[in-house]
Amino acid sequence: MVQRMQLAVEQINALAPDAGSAAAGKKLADKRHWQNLGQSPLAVWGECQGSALYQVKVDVAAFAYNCTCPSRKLPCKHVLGLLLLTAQSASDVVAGEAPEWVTAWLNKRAATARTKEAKQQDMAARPVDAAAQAKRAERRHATVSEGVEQLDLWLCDLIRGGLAELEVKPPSFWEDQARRLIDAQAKGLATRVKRIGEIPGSAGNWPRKLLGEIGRMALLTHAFRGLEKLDADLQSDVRQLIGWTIDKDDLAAKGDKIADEWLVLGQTVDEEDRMRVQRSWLLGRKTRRSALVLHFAAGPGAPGFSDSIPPATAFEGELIYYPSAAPQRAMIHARRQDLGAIKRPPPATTVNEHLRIAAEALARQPWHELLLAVLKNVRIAPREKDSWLVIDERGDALPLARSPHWTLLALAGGHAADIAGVWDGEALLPQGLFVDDQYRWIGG
Amino acid sequence: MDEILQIALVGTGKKSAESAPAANSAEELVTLAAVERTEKKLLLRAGASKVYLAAGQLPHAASALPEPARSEDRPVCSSRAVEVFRDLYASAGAEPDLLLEALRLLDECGFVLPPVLLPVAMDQARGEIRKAVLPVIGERGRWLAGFNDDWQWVRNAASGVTAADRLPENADQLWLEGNSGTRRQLLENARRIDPARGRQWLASVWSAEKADQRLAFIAMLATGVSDEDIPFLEEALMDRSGNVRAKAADLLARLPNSGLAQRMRQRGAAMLHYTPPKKRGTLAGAVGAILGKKQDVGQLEVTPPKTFDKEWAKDAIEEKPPAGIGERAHWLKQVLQRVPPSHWAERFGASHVELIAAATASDYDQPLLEAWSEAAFQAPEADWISSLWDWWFTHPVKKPEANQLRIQWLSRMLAEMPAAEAEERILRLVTDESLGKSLPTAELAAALPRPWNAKIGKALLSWLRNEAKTALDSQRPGYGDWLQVLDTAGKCLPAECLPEALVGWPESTGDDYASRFVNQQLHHFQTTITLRRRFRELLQSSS
Repeated sequence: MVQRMQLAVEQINALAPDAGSAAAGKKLADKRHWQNLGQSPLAVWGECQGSALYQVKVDVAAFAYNCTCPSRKLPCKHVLGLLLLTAQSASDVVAGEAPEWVTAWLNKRAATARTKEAKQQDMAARPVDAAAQAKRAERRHATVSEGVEQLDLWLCDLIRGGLAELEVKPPSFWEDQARRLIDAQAKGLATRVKRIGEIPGSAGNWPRKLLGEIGRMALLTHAFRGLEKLDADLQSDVRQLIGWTIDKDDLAAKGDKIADEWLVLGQTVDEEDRMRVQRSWLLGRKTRRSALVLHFAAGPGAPGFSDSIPPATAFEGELIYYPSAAPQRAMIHARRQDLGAIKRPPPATTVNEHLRIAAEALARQPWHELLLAVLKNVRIAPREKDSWLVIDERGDALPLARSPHWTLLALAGGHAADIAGVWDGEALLPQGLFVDDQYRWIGG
Repeated sequence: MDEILQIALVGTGKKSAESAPAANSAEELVTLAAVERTEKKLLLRAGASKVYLAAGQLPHAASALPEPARSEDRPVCSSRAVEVFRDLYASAGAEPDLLLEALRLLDECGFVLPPVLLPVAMDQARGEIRKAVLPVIGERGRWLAGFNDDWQWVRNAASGVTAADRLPENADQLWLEGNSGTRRQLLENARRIDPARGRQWLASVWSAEKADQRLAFIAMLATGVSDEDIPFLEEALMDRSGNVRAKAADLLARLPNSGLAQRMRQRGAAMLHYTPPKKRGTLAGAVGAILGKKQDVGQLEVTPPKTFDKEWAKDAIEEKPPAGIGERAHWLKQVLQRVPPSHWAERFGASHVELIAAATASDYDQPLLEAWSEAAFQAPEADWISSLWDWWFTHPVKKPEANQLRIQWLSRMLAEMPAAEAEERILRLVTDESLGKSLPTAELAAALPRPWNAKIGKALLSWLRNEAKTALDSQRPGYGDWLQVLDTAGKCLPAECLPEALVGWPESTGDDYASRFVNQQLHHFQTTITLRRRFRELLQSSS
């Protein structure tokens, strides 16, 4: 039986693409604005009076939604309003049979899903035009190689002249090089160069950090030069890091599907390269594998992320990992059943175990950057001037990034708790904790 | 990595990397590899080192851990209330009343706030909200406050700086070393528990404090003021700051045994002479009553001084009047506002009603009644306040500034009156149609103690429904008054009136601007009422 997802008001608000939508959604969470409200085991629906009568529907099994309004923001305020209304005054949304316009939509979705599956099977079976594909691949490889060659020369120049003089270089120094790399179809390297450009003059020991990052980039270009010598998985990493993308349909068809009870423990949204990147951090309860699901949306104010993965919820489903020597990035292949709030503690490690896992990831894939950590029974040590620490039962500690964390401290109350966060190699950015028999997400 | 870092900083053009020894086994591997360019080799060494060091990260050493928070005496309220409180806190800047109501209800129901709300609750700076949240902040809140200097105010309450029945043990030290906010709270608390100690504290630091601090502190002597404070206040009467002198004078005026109070009474006595009305014979009185003649009023002769006596300046009386008032009226006011009006009732053997009537008929009626209003307010004297309110009410003025003053007095006095008297007057206001529009009901309704009681609530609801109907029928919303009262009513109607507050409103289908505006305001009112009902329901149910 498909269980419906019960969303709490906090989680519904977290879905809103921006504060304006959240506020507008709240105003619409009043039955005065709605007609023909209803719900069934499969869906929730209603008609909202705005400048026209909009039909709003939510597929509760798959957690998808649709509204006939012209808004480009997703989810729109009508969807938010309907969800809030259902959460706050469920008695207003009467159980009943779905009207035609809801069943039509559900059927269309099922049909699309079937077509997609068929297409994927087709693609897996299709004989490829090997020759044409090979030629395209060769050309791309050549273009990138030229770009990498030029980058190497540029890096050698930097080192010859010395890092000290980089502090006074204008932003265009880095941006020009980045642009050359984009022209060479090596977008990953371009992003790396731009990030490195922000290090000179930043806080702390920036020369050390700068040398380290340039060094890592040199390892990447060196690895690319000798690509054939690497294992297939590591080759895939190098290509992805440089800028090759993996086709999603291809992945869906060919990739290994890992089924598990997936816990959504963390979520952050960052602005990168004029895009918004949403990172959702998942952990499989049985496999104990962590996964990073990425969603992208163009700049602020644009449509929100199209798939919602509410934090502090769990679902039974299948993920497919992108090929890598230390698999982390994944896409959600199917959500079989939404399990609602996380009421059992997530699998957790000690500080030492976590550092060992981090070291192993680096050993397999030296450009590894972020890692989900769930630390068992840690207590928080708030400090006045330094980063706060989390300390486990053995007395080992890790610093918390972007201290202070008042909500976290308030929820923990000085007691030991399992705390989840994103480890960046130096500090842990807390995402949530398991307290009072429930996992609570404390926000991006 | 440090060796090669030095080289990298100056550049391999100037310094060779060849000689730098490998810092670790990862670097060593690189030195052994065949790499064409030496610069590239250095970079690869740096990269390898970086990965090596990152992988070799050791845990940090533990630091001291705080004691965990104690468990709560009271249950935590339902988590469904969290979103409601978040919204209320978010709008607390503009509309604190709803948050205050919710917090007080939370306390009444015996709950504490959920931990997730503690940071936002403790960040709240408004005094009355802080006061309302203290009973529900719980053990967790008090514990959490210890880690953040900004939340000192919570600790102050817990430690007895502002607690109701005892002072903290290190109170003397806190008085000398605490920050400004702490000291003010401490003094206020001390004056309630041990006024003499409070005064001694003040005396010990008096000359060293800045003027605005002295003013704030001396105002707190109002709590628990007694004859024992007279010597200190008389010193303060000679303070360098005019405001401090004035405040000292106000306080001395409340103590009949003080020199200042006696002098003011003497000065006042020189300015007021009262002749009671002729006692008519019973027959004449009866005839007069039949003919509808007003009761005779006594005569009040008001003679303010013609010149300014320099001695008076020592009692904080200013010679120069502000704009808009004559010299003699100004001196009259300054003296009379420092004599509790009951003194005149006693001296002249007349009731306050009679004296007010007489004052109305006199010259200098305005400054005299203003002075008596201020004096009645300071003392405070309830029966004078009520009667003076009636005077202000029945004497409308045309000039807007003067009317503004009148409204201020009416609001102030209404807030000070016992609840029953205030309600009676508001009821009169809303039911007496002959009053016209000279009195904004809005300001007065806003001055009533909150929440309103059920009787006033029902009366005002009735009145509002009528106003709404009139506005919609005439298609003129009358942008004033009743809409503001509607807004206030949304927040001030008591719990008993909430269910009926949603019904009985006129509906309008008009499309004109006026109708839409009225409908919008009505909708806002109903939203507020619904929100209040909802959180009342949420908070009163168990977790």
